[in-house]
Amino acid sequence: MANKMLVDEYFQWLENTVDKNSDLYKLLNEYLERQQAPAEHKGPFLSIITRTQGKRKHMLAETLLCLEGQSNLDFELLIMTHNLNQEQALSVDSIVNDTPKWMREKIRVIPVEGGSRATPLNIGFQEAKGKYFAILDDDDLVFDNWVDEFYKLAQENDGKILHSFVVRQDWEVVGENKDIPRACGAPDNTHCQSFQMRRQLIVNNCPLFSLAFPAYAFRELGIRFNETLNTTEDWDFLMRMAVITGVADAQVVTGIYRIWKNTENSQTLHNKKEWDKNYGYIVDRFKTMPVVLLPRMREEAMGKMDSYDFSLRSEDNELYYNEGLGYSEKCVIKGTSFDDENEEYCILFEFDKDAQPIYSLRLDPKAQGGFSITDFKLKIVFESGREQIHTVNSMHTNGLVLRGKEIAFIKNDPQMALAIKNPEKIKAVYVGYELHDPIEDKTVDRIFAVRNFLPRCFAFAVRKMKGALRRIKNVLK
Amino acid sequence: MANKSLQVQSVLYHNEKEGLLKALEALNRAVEIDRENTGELSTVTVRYGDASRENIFTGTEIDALNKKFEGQIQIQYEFFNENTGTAKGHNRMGRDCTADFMLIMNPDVLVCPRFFEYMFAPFNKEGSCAGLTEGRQTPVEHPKEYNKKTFETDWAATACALFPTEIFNQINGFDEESFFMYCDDLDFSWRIRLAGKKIYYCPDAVVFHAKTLSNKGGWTPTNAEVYYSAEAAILMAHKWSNDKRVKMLLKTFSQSGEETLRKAAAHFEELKAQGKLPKQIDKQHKVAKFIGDNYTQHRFVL
Repeated sequence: MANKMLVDEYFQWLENTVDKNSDLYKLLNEYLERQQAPAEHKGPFLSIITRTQGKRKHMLAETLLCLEGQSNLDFELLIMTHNLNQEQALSVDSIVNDTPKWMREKIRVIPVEGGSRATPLNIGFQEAKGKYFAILDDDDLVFDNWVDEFYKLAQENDGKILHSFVVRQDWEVVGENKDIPRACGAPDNTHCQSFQMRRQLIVNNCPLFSLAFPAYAFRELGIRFNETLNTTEDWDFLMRMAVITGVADAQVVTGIYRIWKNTENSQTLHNKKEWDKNYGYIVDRFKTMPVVLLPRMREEAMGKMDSYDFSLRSEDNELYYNEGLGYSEKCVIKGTSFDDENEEYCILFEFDKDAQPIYSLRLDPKAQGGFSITDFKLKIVFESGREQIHTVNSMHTNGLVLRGKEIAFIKNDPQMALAIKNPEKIKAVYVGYELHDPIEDKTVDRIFAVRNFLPRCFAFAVRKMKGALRRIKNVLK
Repeated sequence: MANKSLQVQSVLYHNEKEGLLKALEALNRAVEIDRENTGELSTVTVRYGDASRENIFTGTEIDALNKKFEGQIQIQYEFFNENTGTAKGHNRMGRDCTADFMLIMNPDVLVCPRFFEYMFAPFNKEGSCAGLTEGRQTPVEHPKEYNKKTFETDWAATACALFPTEIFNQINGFDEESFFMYCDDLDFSWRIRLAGKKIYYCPDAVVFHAKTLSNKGGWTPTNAEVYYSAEAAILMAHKWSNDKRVKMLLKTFSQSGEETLRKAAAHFEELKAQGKLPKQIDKQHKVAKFIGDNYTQHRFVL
């Protein structure tokens, strides 16, 4: 039995609060005493469930290779083949048979027919022998620490869902058969955030393989995947379990969540209507779930949270500097508040006293997108005493510049960069801007106007050309 | 193409034995599968050159491994009793290689089961002019660009690279005088291209290389990595006739607040004073490419 679940902590508090002669006390006492004596577990620590439809052979082989590379081998792997034809089934068998003997001995291939996306998961969990279950899709990539981080976290958090960080990365497929993976974007840290109950009830920020679920919750408490859902079934399952078990975080990156740019994925397989419908169903269901908020979780829910603090926070801003070797995490300064009597600047970045010539600067105002800035000004004060002031127009950015005055950052990892023509030592950089978070409606309208501008111009030019050609034709007749 | 003999070589440096054994299991399996299917390989020898302070393996352990993998791979182990770095270590092992091909690998890299079929494919393709093939590292893929149709690339990382022994001998192996650990593979690749050969990236030949990323999704080098890559950067720029870049790097490094960078600049100046800088090549810039701080286009920044 598990003895560190979220509800157990609540029950402990309740037991200490109510009258010892009450029926409630007796009930709690009996339950908590049983929870103190966890049964010995026989079997692997982690059961890994991998669903496959046999369509992505290179990717499945790569995922298995990542599991071979684990530093902690206390796992079993259940490959749930779902609705495969004979050729696909043979392909999966061949991939499994290709692995070294010690790896093959950890694998079971379990065919599943019918049902929804969630059906193989429920069956897999049923068949699994581990103390914890993790779901690793046949295109996910994990670092060598993936199993071990869950293992270490479980030692102090038995019974809780375990959560680690994963980075997102854009990938595409190349090759004659368009089946060979190729990374085409930098990893981004959208999913490198601790689990926050309140935020998670509104939006899911946890890719499935960033989580390991306690087997107890499935076997004893009967929490299963909802097989009527074809999308967001993972989020639904996670939250129904999380409100009972709680979640523990390992704040370490353990894998790469691949976003496919030119091939089939769950976004392309299901239309927006279906996604919206399921989203609405789940959110309505969450509204009926009581949630226990322990003191530390209450602070998190009521205090400032990453995505829900709309004010400008100087410490969110990071200034990267390039001394000639490019940007790296060794060369970054966090912003501090600056009280400017002229109210032009509000963030200060102070450089080391052993300053060095700087070739370029990069300002990261926030971790996530979905906001815009106006009245941007950046002042560089060089060691020599010289000052340089820059506005939006001298910055390179991955945001959208609107009318030369506003920058809208839609995508995550917003950045603004500036090259320094004659590299020189810098003493300090001052930055000022007005933050609009979330993006205002009028800004959204401007974005669509810009995006439509060139196509409209092109369409106009084509119409004019067609008209001119018709007139020439008529004249020639 | 006829069966090819292969020498796999890795320079060891305080590696965990468990990781090495796993790598051998993966390699052994890849050889078994090749023999069952494509039949590229005849004999396969694994050579370990141990540059650690104390030997990782004993003679008894190597014998036991040879018994275990009998019929597939044969392991030869040499304790260097010296921290050779990778360039010198590989030259030491490659100098007397009699195999048709050499595969240079990081010692703890796990090759995928169908590795040899994919890595030899460019060599088997008529007219490819292949001189070197490189496997794709997972989970963190190297960001350098490659042609999506031909799979040609500008240079290959020797975390996992395959080439004919003939070419190794033709270009006199790695430049161990100039490069201790970093850029030795880059320099090697470019000299192969100067010799008229092409380099191919094999994205289906996946190899697991244990790396991690920070919570910001980036790469955080150690101090040793910063020093050796800085030292190599200046030497690369000099050897491949980019004097402007040499000047820029020396100025930046010598004025840097980072001691490792100042040390790298000082080392270069010392070599220059002693007349020990490498001879400059590719003065027409036919092969060498310096794009920012990279040596080819990159698909993304890591």
